[in-house]
Amino acid sequence: MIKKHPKAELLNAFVNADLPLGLSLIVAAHVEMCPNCRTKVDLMTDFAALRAFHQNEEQTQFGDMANQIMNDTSASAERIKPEPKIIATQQADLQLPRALRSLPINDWFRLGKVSRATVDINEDNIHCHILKIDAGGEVPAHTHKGYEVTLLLDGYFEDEMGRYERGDFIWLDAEHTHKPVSVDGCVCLTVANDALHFTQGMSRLLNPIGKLIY
Amino acid sequence: MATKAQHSTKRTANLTPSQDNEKLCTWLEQIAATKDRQAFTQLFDWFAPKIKRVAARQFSNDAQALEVVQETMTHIWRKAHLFHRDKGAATTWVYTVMRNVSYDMLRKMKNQREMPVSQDLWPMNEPAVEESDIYSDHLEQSNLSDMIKTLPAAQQQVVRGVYFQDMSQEQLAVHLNIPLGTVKSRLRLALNKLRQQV
Repeated sequence: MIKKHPKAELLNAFVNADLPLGLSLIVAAHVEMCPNCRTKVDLMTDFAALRAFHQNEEQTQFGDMANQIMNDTSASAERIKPEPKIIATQQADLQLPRALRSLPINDWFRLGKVSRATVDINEDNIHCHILKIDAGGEVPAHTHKGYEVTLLLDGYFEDEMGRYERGDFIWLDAEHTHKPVSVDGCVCLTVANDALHFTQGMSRLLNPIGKLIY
Repeated sequence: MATKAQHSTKRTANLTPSQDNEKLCTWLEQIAATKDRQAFTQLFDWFAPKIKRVAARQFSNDAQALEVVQETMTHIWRKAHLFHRDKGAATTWVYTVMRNVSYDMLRKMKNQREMPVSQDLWPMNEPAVEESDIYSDHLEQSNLSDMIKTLPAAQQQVVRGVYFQDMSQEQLAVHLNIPLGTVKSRLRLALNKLRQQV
């Protein structure tokens, strides 16, 4: 049962294509997994369409465009439908969300029980990763200077605020400090716009893992 | 359900989208079935100026706004068979096409090498075989009805009228014998409530 969802404001911005790619794709991935949010997005899209098209226009001149479109017999640039991406986890293979299908995913980088692959979204300040935590793995206590959004793709993890399951969409910012632990292992999609900030005394030692997750 | 198809050929200048849905759906279906040129010409006249206005707010020059119109309408001419009236309003489908075309164009302007990703983010009405295997579709369908059932009866009436019977707010006001302002405020309250749910 999914308990954590994007706020309506964020869903609306997603519908209107107002979000940077990193946020668009993590919202899209949640919506794919969550029937409730799909219903909301459908409603919001209805309303966006009504807003966009409710006004009547002066008849603009489009010349012969309609006929050109109908007479154009050139083959449409059919987009090759990208295949679903699949990754191996400790338990089984996992199909990644549709939103990731066309984006390059870099090699895995591993530190202890945590491994990470960067999704190449080519945005300056926003980083997107797939994070695998093996059974018993944890991420040291940290807070976030910007935002860190986590979508649980598989398994579950716990932190001071509760237990999160597959499909949960967790938005954290500088107000939150947490120390996620995954007893049985999990896979997450994460999007963050700033480095993590470790709150325990060994931040220098922990730097590599901060970089790893950011 | 409104079942009477309207094959009107006159300009549709002062109708709202919800009143026009039946006609827009019929045009799309005629294009899908027989590549009906008259249906497309009418659909073009209805949507092109509206698409142009929306695109003009996103793209600085006229040529780019026209390109959005051309690409969107081309997609509609070629892919009308992907539209299904039982999955949503005609305006919603066209909006989705337009939004996706604009999004990929904007990304491409930023960087030539960018792959189009809009269809991965906002999938259109494609047969979604793999998805239905993984996520239960009946859950999704029952969900909106469940959500609507939690609304007060007066709000339910308005939402059902607009969403499932394709009535305009004006028609609903006459049908329910209440002022138009009441229809509008009930709809607004209902939507706020639906959006806050979950």
